Amino acid sequence: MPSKRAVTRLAILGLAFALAAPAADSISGRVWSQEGDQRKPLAKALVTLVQEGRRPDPVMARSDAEGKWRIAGPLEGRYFVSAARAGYYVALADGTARSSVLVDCAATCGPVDFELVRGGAVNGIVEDDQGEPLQNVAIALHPEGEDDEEDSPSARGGFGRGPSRFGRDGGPGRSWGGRDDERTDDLGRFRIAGLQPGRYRISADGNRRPGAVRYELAGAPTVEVEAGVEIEVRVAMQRRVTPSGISVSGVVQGVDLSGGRRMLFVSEMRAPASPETPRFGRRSAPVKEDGSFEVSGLAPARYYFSLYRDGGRGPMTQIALGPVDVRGDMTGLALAPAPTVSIAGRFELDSDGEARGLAAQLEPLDGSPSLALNAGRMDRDFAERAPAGVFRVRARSREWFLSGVELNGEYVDPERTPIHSDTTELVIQLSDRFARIEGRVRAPSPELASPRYLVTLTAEPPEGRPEAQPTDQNGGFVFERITPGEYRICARPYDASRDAPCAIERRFPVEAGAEIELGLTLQP
Amino acid sequence: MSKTATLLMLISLTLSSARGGQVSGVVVAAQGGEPLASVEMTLGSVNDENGRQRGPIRGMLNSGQAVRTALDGRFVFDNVEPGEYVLGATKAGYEAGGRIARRVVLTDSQPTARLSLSLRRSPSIEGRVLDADGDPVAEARVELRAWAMSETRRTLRAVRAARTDDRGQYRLDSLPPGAYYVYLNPQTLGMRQGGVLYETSGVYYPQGATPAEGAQVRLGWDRTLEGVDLVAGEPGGAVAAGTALHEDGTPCPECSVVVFGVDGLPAASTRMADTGRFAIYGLPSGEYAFTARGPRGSGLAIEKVYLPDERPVEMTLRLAPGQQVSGFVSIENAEEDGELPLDRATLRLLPADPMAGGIPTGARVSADGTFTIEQAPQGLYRALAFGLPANGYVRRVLYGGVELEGGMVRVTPNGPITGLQLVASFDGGAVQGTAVESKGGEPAPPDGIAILLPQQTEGASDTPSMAGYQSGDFRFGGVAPGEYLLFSVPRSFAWDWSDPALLAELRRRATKVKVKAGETVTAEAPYLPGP
Repeated sequence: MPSKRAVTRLAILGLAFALAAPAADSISGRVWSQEGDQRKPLAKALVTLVQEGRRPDPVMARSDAEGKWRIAGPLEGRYFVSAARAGYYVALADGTARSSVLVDCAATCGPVDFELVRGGAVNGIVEDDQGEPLQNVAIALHPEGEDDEEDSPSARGGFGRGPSRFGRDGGPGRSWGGRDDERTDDLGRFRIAGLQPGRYRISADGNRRPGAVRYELAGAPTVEVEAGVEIEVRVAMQRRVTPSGISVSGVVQGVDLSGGRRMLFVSEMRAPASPETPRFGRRSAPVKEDGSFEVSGLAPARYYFSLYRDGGRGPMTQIALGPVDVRGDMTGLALAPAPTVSIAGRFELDSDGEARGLAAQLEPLDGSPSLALNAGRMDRDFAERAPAGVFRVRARSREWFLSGVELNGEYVDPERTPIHSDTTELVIQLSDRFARIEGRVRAPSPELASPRYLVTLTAEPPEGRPEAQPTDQNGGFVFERITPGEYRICARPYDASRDAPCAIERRFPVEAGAEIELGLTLQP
Repeated sequence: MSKTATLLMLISLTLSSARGGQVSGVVVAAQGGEPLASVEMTLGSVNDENGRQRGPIRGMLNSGQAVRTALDGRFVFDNVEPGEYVLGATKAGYEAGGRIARRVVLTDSQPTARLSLSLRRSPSIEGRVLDADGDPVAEARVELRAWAMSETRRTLRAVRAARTDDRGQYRLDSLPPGAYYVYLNPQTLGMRQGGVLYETSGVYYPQGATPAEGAQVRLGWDRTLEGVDLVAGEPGGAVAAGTALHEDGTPCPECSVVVFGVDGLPAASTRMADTGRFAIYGLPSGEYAFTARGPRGSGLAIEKVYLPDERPVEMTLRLAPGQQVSGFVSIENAEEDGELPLDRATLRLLPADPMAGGIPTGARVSADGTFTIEQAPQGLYRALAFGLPANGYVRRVLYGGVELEGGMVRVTPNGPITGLQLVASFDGGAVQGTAVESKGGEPAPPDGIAILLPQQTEGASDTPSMAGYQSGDFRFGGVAPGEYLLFSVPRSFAWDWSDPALLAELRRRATKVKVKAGETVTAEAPYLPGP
């Protein structure tokens, strides 16, 4: 006999949906638990109904003490029905991990029965090569023999609820087993339960951990899982090490090396198109007065060698020596100044303001060292020498930014400025018409206080370090002195890792001198 | 000086110039002092090539690989050029997941630095969630809540959250020290057509329905609270259903309903059925504010309702259009015919009481100081001006010649508000200085937040101002004349400013600052690492 409360609810259900479509129907069934040879009703299982082709907007019910469940209609079309309980997996006749059933309610709508089996559980600790726990490592178990490249489940069976279990059509989603995102805690621990029996390969991804040290799995650990059995594992990860250890020795010739300091700088040549990639293998070594040097600890790569010297007084000056392919230990390498061309021209500023310290960088696209161009004290001219090549022109300060480049009377792409011979007409145009972006991260509901967020503004394509601002007490933020271009803005909870997904994200263009207002409302 | 000594010095200088300097040291646990292995160390230059302060240091030096401590806790950075650096250390489970930092200066004459750092173990909380039958509840969301000040009110916010596993176990780790409530969110089942059914009710540890009925948990460094078990409460007996309508009386299926309790916290939310109907089952009986929001801010409905047990309540939420709010920003002592420096000013209306409605809204202030918000939804708001010049602040807010206490404005469906006046003053002072370990002491660790907490101000603001810093130097502009407490904290903090014990501690340890009109005060901000 239904309780008074249940009656009340049914009554109000009619009240609430009096305007709904007629022909109410229902779907029902039972959930069973299989333990050995015994089949028992399973209470407290969560049964979920999602209409095919609709956005995941699941309707749910719990099985009662007799394992019975029921969801009221109206029901039209086809529905995915699934059942889950923590620690259990669904036993289907075809042995698949898709624990949902597609039911066509146009014909008949149930009953739909499920059989759940208590699965195995893996409790683990992830440690580094010094035996220290690793936090925030993403752990998944892959049934052995399944193709890793497919959308194979991270584990068979398992538990979980929520929209992430559903695909766009309302059917089973990609992460069907275990928890969608099993990560180690500060003690390096993880647990994945509700596993079907079988052998699993363990994968561990430490790349989303905060910090710069990167780890990779040591070996290829596997576990054998039995239904209803808990097992303990230790997962070892090791530091990912860049190969190093090559030594190069030789002599620098053709340069006056007397007096002062002399340093050889060796930098791996990477195209500036990937500025966020750290330059590995950068090394420096002293150069003796006779020109001899020895630099060690290099990884196999192509390096650019430069000499810095001060001649005993004044600032260090750079002398380009040229690129060298380093593949193994080298001795007797003879280095001499590389041929250079004259690069001369002037800065132009699009305002009448007095600008001091006008400067730019010419970054060779082949990854060799940049050349600094500085305006003279009394005028806006510059004159330097550098090896010929194709350059990316960079100029930015608090007062101005790069707005264009003219070479020999013609506009050129600042990203690819070719200088193959002496030039006296390189015009670097600067502007002080910065844009300003002001905005606010809003809570999904007006009455919720805006939590603190860290808002990052990244140029697209990325260029240098993204700007980051914490929101104030009202969720407000301001970015000043923004240069024109395409930008992406991203807000993350203040304490979240910088690798965490954005809580909200926008892309938009910024024009010179623009004042932009942004409202970023978080999704509930 | 002897020739030998001169020669040795020259050799030393030559070697240091040639090899570069070295930063080395050891990292130990603050409690116990044992060496800590696998601590990630970073060393970054404080200033960039233009002399500007860098952002958070994530760089690495020389080897191209980040440095971490060995089993004996030791670390070394070689070939470090002379300069000013920030040395950072992070380790999982320590310092609330954040970084501690120390300033390091290498010179030609002192090219090496050796440091000892200690990391504090972050507090954590563990427990289980069980249902009324004693069975574990999986996938339950357990929140750690703390009081926080917004511009308009004091409110509880979730600092961290965790979900229970299949055994009902949860762990909240890497926490900042603070005073918290452990809260078990109610569990719901989705229902057809705009319905939501609460299976359980929310519980404040150990068994409270409200924060006042729960126990506040104080966490300090190196403390793990175990056995913080929660029993999911029975759902309440209240049932509410209704219809959301547009202003013209047609159903509003695209509306959303949010229900607030008397504590101002959201108690429930649901979307609408295609018919514009909604139903919520299982709320505890009590007084609530039901709000319906139209799409894209097209209106707001608010209904205060008492929900009894077992007796369904039917309601209609009809969206009321927003009202025009217009007025002007005036400047005290402004020269006649003078140009108002308001070119970047924005007026904001921020909801002050969820039970009274309101949606944040705002408008640009024109060059002549006027503003117009076309559609401000009904509600109680605090009027604030942003983007004033650096020395500007709002001294008071007037409507109909009457000063509005706290700058609070009530927007009703009855009609527009015209002539709202914000009186700004441009005689604000400034507070600048350096974060220090203690008054008159060493510089504080870099990468923190300076806080200016009003005690008695002449302006409308009574909420703390915050200024993040990297190397320790901070500045607050547009500070209303008055008395303040100045101090600094780590980036990760969760403090309740209104906690009397904390305020007493702040009064004892913070620097008291008196700001006069137009003056700049330079003061030290003592560093308070945690309660």
